[in-house]
Amino acid sequence: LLEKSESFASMLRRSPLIQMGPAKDKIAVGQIFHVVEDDLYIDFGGKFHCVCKRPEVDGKKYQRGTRVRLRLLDLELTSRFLGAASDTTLLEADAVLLGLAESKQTKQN
Amino acid sequence: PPLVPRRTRNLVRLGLLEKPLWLDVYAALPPLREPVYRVPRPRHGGARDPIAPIFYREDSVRARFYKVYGNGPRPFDLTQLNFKSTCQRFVEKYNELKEEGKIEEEKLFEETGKALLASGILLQRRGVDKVAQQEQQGAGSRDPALQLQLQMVLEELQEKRKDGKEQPPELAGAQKENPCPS
Repeated sequence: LLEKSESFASMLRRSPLIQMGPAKDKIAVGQIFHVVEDDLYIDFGGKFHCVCKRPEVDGKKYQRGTRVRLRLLDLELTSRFLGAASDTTLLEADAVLLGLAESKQTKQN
Repeated sequence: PPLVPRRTRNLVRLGLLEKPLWLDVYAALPPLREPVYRVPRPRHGGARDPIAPIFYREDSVRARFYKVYGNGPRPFDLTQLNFKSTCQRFVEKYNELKEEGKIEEEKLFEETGKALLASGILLQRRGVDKVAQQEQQGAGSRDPALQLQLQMVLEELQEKRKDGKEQPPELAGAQKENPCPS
């Protein structure tokens, strides 16, 4: 399958990140890639992953590889401390875990 | 005299260092200012390094789409490059209709909504109760006027179904969560 070479600018313009715009309150799907007891590390394709608490309902279903639905709040948690020249980043995104992603057959668009 | 060339010249003379290429060049063409690293002073008055934000023409359409319709029925999948969100379809349809030139500017937004409806993509307008609508996609009551309009448009454009645009589950899913008021 030979794809015609596309410039980065072109790919960026049609990328889902640009389509999304500001991340606040947008719904996205992610996948759990690491579990530490009740902390779920979820990768949704953004610059950073997010860490969410295991929900009460259907708690056991959330394992490595589970696809989940998230409401994104912040793509990167940063803050500036007093006297600092630049922000300090947590290398983490912030999202609310909504639940499991319903697996339905979706055509590749 | 500048530190680095001076020391280098001494070392070369002592035989401890092989003569680097730049030494003669520096002697022939010395820089106006000795290239010592200076920490950039933080600028006062809020003047930052001017980096232009990345804006595209379709961003205005996107902004309006999100304002009117909220998130859109489908969650974003950022991992796939070829992912096309509902918003993106809207934008493409908008540009398509704009290029055709048959519809006037003010009507373009509405017409795009109708055209998408014909392809089976259901768009929910954002109501006053923002929180409830965003949490449960597709839930919330449709006002009867909108419902009627939707039905009319659907019937109208049923023949002119576009091929392969969007799968029916989109419509079916929205209708499942949303028992029709009639």
